[in-house]
Amino acid sequence: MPPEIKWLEDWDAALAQAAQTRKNIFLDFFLPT
Amino acid sequence: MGAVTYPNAEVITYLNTELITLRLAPSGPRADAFFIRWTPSLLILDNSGAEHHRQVGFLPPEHFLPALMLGNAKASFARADFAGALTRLERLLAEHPQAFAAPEAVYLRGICLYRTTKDASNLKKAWQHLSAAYPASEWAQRSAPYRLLS
Repeated sequence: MPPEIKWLEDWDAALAQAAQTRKNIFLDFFLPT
Repeated sequence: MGAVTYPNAEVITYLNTELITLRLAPSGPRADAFFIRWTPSLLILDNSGAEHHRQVGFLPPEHFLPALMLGNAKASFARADFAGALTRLERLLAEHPQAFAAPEAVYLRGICLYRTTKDASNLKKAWQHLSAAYPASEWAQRSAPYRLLS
């Protein structure tokens, strides 16, 4: 099962989640095939 | 990445537990803001959105996982969280000493130790380690001035 990499929908929510969890963000610029 | 690296069990565990994983198309305002011109472009950002590490192109799991560890360590280092950076660097070097990311990890560990202790011998030790274990790496060259430290 590959990692669950969600499409970024809400930038501010992502930053807030990072702050809350004290984790960094892995951002994959992905070219759909 | 999707065919070889992402399905790797260790990569999955690290991504799912140590990072918030998100995906964006390589065009649009956000991609432009990060100057994305090629895929894969894989970034490590902190919780302010600042970029601390970038990988362009494919890496197999045995190099990708330590690259993620290095990116996380660099984010800690940038926030002056040297203890946090050291924890991540020590794990990288213990588990993946032959990875492409290892020489930079040795260099950064030396700096973190110096910033923590103010003991400059840590910088010289980093150069000694790099010269012995990774003599062809650019990080051995970058640390070369530290050989002059007492």
